[in-house]
Order: sequence, then C-alpha cells, then structure tokens
Amino acid sequence: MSCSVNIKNLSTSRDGVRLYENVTLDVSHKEKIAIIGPNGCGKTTLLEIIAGLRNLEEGTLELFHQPMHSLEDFKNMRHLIGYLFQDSDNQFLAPVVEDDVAFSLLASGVSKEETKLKTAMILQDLGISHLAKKIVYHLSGGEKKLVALAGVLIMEPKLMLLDEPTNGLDQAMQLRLVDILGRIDKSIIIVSHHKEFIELVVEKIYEITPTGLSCSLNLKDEHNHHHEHGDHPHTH
Amino acid sequence: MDKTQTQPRIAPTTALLLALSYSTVVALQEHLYAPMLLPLLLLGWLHRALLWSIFKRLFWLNTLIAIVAASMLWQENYELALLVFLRSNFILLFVLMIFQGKDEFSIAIAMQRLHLPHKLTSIFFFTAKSIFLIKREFTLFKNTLHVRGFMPKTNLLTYKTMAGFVGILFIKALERSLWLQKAMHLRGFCGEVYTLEAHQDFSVYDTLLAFITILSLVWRQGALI
Repeated sequence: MSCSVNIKNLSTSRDGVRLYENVTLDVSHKEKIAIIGPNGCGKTTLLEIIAGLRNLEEGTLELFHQPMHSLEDFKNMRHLIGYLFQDSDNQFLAPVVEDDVAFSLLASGVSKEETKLKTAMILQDLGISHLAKKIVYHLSGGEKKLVALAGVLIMEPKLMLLDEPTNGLDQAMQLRLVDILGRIDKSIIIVSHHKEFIELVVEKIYEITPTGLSCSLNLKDEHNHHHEHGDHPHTH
Repeated sequence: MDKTQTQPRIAPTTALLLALSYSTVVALQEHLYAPMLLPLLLLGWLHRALLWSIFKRLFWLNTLIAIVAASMLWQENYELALLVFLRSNFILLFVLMIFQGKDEFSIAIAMQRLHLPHKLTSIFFFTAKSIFLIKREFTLFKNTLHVRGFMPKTNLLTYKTMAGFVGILFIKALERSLWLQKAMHLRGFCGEVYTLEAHQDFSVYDTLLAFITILSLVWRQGALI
C-alpha cells in the first residue's frame, strides 16, 4: 500500500532532555490516525518534524516515498502538507476571513478568479460562507478553527496534521468537526487528548512513550450491525 | 467592518486617506482657518451618540500636549502655545472620530486596498496582530492577578510581580513570533498579504465627508490663529 508518512527509529530531544527513542510509524494513503500521550511527551514536536518545521535528530523520515534529510527537502513538499495549529490565532496571515483562506493559493501563484471560486466553495462546504468578509480576530474560537481548517483544505494537501483540533470547541462544534473530518479523503494525523473525539474520526490510535510509539487501539475492524440490545459502534 | 452597527459606515480606505490628508495639511499650515472645523462638526454629528467617550479619550491624550504647550508658555510664547494646542487637538479629534468603531485591522485592510507597498502593509498587519495578541495576554494576566487577590502596594512583592508580568509578556511575544514564522513557512508567505477584494463599497457618508474635508483644506478664509 502506498505510504504518506514513513518514520523509522526517530529519536528526539528538547532542551537537552530525550523525549522519545526509536519511534517508528507508517501512515498509509488516506489513513487517519491519532497520537495520544501525556502533556509534554513531544506530540506536537513529532508533528513539527513531519511538517518540516523542526530538524530530524536521529532516524529517518520519508514523505510520499521521498526521504527527508534536511528542512530544505520539505520545500517541494509544502503544498502536500496541511498543518492545523493548536491555537488558530497563530495560523492567520491575513485580516479578513476570505483573504486568509485564499492566502496559500494566491501565494502559490493561482489566479485571483480561480482562488475566489475555490474559496467560496470551501467556505460553503464548511458552512461558514457568512463569515467571509469578517475580521478573523473577531470570531469565536470554533469559527476561527473552521476558518483555519478552510485555509488548510483549500490547498488540497495529501497529508493533514491536526494539533489538538478540539481545543476550546463546544460539543456542537466538535461534532461538526467530526463530520467534516469524516468526509475528508486524505491521510490525517491528529494529536489530541480528547479520546472520545478521536475515536469517532480515526482508524488507529498510537500512544507515545519515552521508549517509542505503540498502537493502543485499532478501530479498523469496528463496524455497525444490529443487536437486539440496541445499535452502537463496537469492536469484535 | 465596523465593530458597532449603530454608527454610520465610513470605509477604512476613506478614513485612512482623509486622516492622512487632514493631518498633513493642518500640521503644515502656518495658520488655522475656521473651515477646518467643518469636518470635525460633521464627524461630531455622525458620532453624536459617542461624543462623550471620544472627548474623554481626547482629554487623556491632551496631557502630553499640555506639557508641550506649557513649555512654550514658560517662554512666554503664548501665540505659539495656543497654535500647537489647537493644531494638535484638531488632528487628534479628527483621527479619533474618523476611526471611531474601527480597529487596527481596519487600517491594515485600508492599506491593502489602497495598494500601498506590500512590505509596509505586511509589517503593519503583523504588528497589529502582535499587539492584539499581546494585549489579550496582558488582560489575561491582569485578570489572573485580580482573581488571585493581588493588591499593588509599595513593596517588593509588587515590584517582583510587575517585573514578572513584563517578563511573561516578552516571552509570550517571542513565542507568538516563532509561531508566526512557522505559519509563514507552512503557508508559503513571500512578503505579501493578499486580498481577494476587487472593489470597494463607498457610502454616501464617504462622499460627503471627503467633500467637506477637501473643501475645509482648500478654503482658506477666517484665520483662527
């Protein structure tokens, strides 16, 4: 099966302290996985390494079968990777919603007409067309998250990295996000503490520990069928 | 883009252009003329519901102007002191009223739509963004101090807390700048903040205010001082 991310024996330190060793991870094409672990264990650091925001210390990383040795190697991969920050405010690069969503397309040289069309489509798809002309910093936390997600999705990345996507979202907005992510047909890596949320979105859950990454839950075989005692998703 | 819907809508581009023109001409004129009051009167009428808060802000801004004027009074240059005082207040009042209900982002949008140099627009927007986010951290920290029962006094604890406060703001500012750099890397920033807006909507207030302001700047009758 074609692989979006292939990590072998990755070891990472932060401020001289070893976070984890020998992390090995394969994420297949269109596979959705989650990474969980205690605070400060290096989940965001791992996402940053995959996104090319942080240098690889030890181990190997391949993205779409291309070995990534230095940050320079990521330059040609940028359009294939979408990264949703934990704090959406950090992600915005334009004051108005539609301008921010369109940013990456315009920066990559796509015409204004085409960008305008795609922006309108993506805003409509996420149900936030009414926010198009608003200033991003005046929106609520949930609205900001959706605008940031629209800015990621508009580039049609093959791999999406989501850092604590439910942070600050109410129940209704979380369910909306589950629905949106469920419809996205791409490889997704989610870092989150929110187990109920990730169980609704991903196929596999990995737990990060100082000694590596272990698959703590595989929901691939989970399916729905009828039981006399009621219908609910479960694993056999 | 206005925060409050109750005020007449003056486009950010109109506000920025008129504020620049009015400030420049009033600042560089040898005399102040009576017609220069016209745009102030019109803006005052448009913002009549908010005049009290506007004048309160003007009063506090006047503390600095008062020091400058006082230094001239000290030299017994009464006419110059009055000219500096009036000139500064004309400009401040115009800027306060024309940007009433607009925030720093409106100015960034106006700069974008006026097609000012990309670097200038980007720097202004990212500065506005940083100030907005740091202001939020400031409010959060201030509220934390209130909630935890902190009462400022003339003692070492207060000085230490305030020093810590400033330190935290610096650290937060640094963190934000690092995240901004990451966002720029990921989203392909190359020196320009783009806009999709092709045209601008101007209301009747924009036209009226522009007409009155230009008229006030070219009609040099009735020197006040």
